[in-house]
Amino acid sequence: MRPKLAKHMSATKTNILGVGLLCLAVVVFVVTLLDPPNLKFIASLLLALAVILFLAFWDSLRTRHHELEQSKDEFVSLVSHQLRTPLTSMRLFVEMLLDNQVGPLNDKQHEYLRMVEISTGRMIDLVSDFLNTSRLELGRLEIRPQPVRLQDIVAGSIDQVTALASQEKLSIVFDKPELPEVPVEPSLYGQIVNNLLSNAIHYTPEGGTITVTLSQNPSGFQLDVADTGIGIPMAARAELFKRFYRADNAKHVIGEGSGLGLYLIKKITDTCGGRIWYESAEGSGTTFHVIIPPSGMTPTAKAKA
Amino acid sequence: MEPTTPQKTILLADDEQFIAIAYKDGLERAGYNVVVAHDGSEALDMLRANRPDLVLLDLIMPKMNGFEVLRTLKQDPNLADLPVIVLTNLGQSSDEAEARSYGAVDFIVKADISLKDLLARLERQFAA
Repeated sequence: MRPKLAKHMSATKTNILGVGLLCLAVVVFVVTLLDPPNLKFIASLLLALAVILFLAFWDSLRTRHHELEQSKDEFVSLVSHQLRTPLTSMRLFVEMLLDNQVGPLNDKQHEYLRMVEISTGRMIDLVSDFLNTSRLELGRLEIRPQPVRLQDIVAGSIDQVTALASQEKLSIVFDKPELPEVPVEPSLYGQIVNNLLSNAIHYTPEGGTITVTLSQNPSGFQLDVADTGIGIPMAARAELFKRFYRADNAKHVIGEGSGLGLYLIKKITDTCGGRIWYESAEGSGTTFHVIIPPSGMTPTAKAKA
Repeated sequence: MEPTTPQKTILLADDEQFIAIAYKDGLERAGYNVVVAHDGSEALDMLRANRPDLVLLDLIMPKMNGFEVLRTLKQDPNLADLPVIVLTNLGQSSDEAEARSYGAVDFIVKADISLKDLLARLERQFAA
């Protein structure tokens, strides 16, 4: 990290130097307005030189800024890979233990291990959320659409949370439709679905129902996730899609939310040409809608060199 | 899960000790025969000595990374048709595109998949 920091310092110095040169150029220019023509010529040369130098410094500043962003991206990728490695082995061993593959568990052991499983799953999702948030902010999120059946992605995401939902005594209703393939980036669409499902489960009290609908209409492929949960207070609506924002009533629900989920979904849908909106009544439930254009996700331009 | 007959052999190339233990145990319980390589060049040596039915290949490994292993084995006439599933914790779509362009039949992010789902993906591969 140290050389990178040093680079940053020198970038600041260059900045000051560049501004200084620009000031000098302005002074010289003003002087030329007052002096005889031969001096004017020399001064114009000086001015041109100053402008060229300034542009050169400006360019080097931008390069350095780009390098800093690159190193941030590499750092985040490295951290997420390093975090996922131990999380993977935790996930696998817990799964085997819970399946009684290594011997029978008593009820308490089973209950506690379930909590480890859920916590591990949350950590894994968080790592993905942080990674994608960072990529989105650096403009480096890659969208490479490939033809997929959205209904398979949705069904897969629901499978992953069925156990958690039944533990919370929630039922998930999904009538899998027959839709044609559409070009989307499966991992990003999966992340949208996972985040909406996880919110619905998190904020719906016991006995509730989560209804998932996937349909095709003239504006595109629409996903609706309706819950019978605590709803979103009016006061929270302006801030809902902001990073790290959590509604007041959400803070009272057991289990931490990162405040990244909706922010990320909004960013992903905006980036890929889709749209997200919702209706909510405090105390009776929320429905989120995400629409992907009929032609699928818009691919991102080639990554910056 | 019933063992498939005759027993299929899977070469698992992964330098992460705990992950290798977990996958080996889980896959063996499902009836597969599993051999483990701990780095890329060991994986290639083992592949050449005893051809398995399928390879589960990590990407970040010492000595030779997974991309290189994949490229090398696809150039080997005896191994070129061997199905390779990349099993990694690198999740960028560019990594997936690169792995698939070298001939990987599937690309799985380890942290995102349960053992059950991995077994289902393997079965799908063997059924194909």
